[in-house]
Amino acid sequence: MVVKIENLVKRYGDLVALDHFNLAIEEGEVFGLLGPNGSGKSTTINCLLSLLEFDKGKIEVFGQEMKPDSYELKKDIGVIMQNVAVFDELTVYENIDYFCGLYVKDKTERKKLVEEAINFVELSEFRKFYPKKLSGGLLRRLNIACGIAHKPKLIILDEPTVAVDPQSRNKILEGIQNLNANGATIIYTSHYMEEVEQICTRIAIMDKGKNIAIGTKDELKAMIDLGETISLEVLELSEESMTAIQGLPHVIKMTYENHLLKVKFSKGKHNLLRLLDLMKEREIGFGGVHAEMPTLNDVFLEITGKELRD
Amino acid sequence: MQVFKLYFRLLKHYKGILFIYFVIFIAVTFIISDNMSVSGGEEIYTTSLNVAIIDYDKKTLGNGLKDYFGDKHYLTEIEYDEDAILEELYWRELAYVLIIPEGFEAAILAGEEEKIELQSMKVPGTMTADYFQSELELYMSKLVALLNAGYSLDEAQAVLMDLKEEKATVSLAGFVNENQHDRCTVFFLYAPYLFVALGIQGVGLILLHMNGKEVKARMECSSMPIKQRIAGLTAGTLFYGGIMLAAVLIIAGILSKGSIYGDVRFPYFILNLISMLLLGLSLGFLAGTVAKNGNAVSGIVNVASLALCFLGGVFVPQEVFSDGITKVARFIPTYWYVQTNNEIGAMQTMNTELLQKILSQTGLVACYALAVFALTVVLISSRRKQMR
Repeated sequence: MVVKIENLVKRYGDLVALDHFNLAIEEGEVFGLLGPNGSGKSTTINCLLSLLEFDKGKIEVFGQEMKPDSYELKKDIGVIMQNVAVFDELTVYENIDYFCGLYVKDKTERKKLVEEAINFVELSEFRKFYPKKLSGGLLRRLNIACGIAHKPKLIILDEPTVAVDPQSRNKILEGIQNLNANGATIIYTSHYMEEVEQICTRIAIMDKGKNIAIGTKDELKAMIDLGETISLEVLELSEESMTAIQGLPHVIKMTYENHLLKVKFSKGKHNLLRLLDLMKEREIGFGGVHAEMPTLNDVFLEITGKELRD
Repeated sequence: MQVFKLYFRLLKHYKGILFIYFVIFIAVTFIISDNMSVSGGEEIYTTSLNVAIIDYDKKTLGNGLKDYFGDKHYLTEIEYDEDAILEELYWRELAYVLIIPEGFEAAILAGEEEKIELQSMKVPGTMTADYFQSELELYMSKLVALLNAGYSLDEAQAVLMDLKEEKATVSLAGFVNENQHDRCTVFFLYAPYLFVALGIQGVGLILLHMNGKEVKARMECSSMPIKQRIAGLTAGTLFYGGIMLAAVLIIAGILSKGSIYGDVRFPYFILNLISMLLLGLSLGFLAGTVAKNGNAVSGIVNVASLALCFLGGVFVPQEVFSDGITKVARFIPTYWYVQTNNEIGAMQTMNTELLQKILSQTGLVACYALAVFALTVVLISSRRKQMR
């Protein structure tokens, strides 16, 4: 077990930020902490890193209790915070070298590690640049390089893609998957469900300081009674046909706007076939057909009654 | 070592502004120390005044007077015009107007000098008028004495002219201590400005960067123990302070052409400088903790350095302080620094009493530094608790 959190309680005055929170992360996982802003993701990370004291509970990392002075444990942990944490007065190379030097004393080894980190985030040609000269995406990559240069076994990324352009975001996500492929266990917090779905092997959904669901994305989706959402381009649809569609088995909701028919089904077999049969039977002409499986947002919506982005 | 190196990498970024502060300080103190320094009797010189004479007597005595003072002062002979004379006296174009009354020579030669006296017009209470008056009285008393001794008027006037040519060397011994205003003492007097300004600017900015929320969190997460980080920071700060002290001592060496290094007062000057240096560094430590950004640090630099230097008597001599200001100034550490600096400057030999005084005063300044440092530590730990 890489990380084990038991019954963690953290209060800020009357506000309960973490309410008997539990978590277990195995070696080699890319573990996603998903939840809306204020759900307790960053508090969990800060408690895990001993940046915050907590009121109750226990945190173990690599089988040992995590405390502010657990410096041996910290050697194997890399942290990439939500906000870029670098010195504006140091160049790209100097920043990575400095933060790597907080873990690695040997100069020769450090030089090698810094070079590897620079190459990993593809900042070779910017090594002499000062952070203020870098674009948002490059700055994020520098932030990552500073957190991973010492080759940690556990990497914690707290919303590393906030305010990043799509191209840089893809590079970052790709990089995280590579780090995992090289043996690092990853904890990834985000409120972007697409990212979490894309890279995480297991996900915990958080709300109000609680772990409300945990599992793989498929396991999470299986927890809810929601099937696919089917969209069809339909030129014309009579009231009578709409009533007939609504009468089909497992239909939860149906909308028809701007020649687009959207039908949301609960879990059930042959939902698409039944819908297409009805269209054929009533001789309703249609264009493109698109079937969408439930997302983690649907899971969150189903469990909490609100959207992830609320 | 990593934090120590970071300290100087960050400092390197601000070398321009720190250098400007240093150059301005050096230039200003060079000029001031040159102007304020006094050595031996070099500053003693005679002054020539604008004196007008109205001679109603028009005799040998009057002419002799004109010859005697004409060499020394700018003498002009005028006619009596009260309004014109008063105006010239008012505008200080004339320092003194001497009126030789008719029959003055005859009265002197007859030994009846009290019957007809020299008259004058002058601005009452002015130093220049009193100066000329005393010269005149001295001349007349000598003349009368010579006449009473049997000299003729011509002979007496010739003797007085000869006496005037003789010059004496004037020494200031017993009036102002030669050392009190030597260039190094004056230069060291201004060191608080450098130490406070550069201390706050340098240490404050470095700490401001290291205290940045994100960077600090990243360092907290690292495997470098906090004690090691504090040690690196302390070493960096002390090394920076050492550079400032070394620079001041080198400049002092240049000013004194090296003599200060062999001076008996040198170790005590260093002790006093170190106490002030510690205060500057601890103020920097406080500024870096309370300031939100670089502009705030610069603001603190200006307020703290000017307030400490003006109220402590660095920029304004403590002698001109009113009793009220002195009472306030006694609570300012720079006041004690200046006191100690002047005492060391005036020192000829060390004695127990002076040593105790120097130690207690430098100790007091060091205590101020310690108090500021302790306050900062309390602030940091309370913030740390709040954050956790």
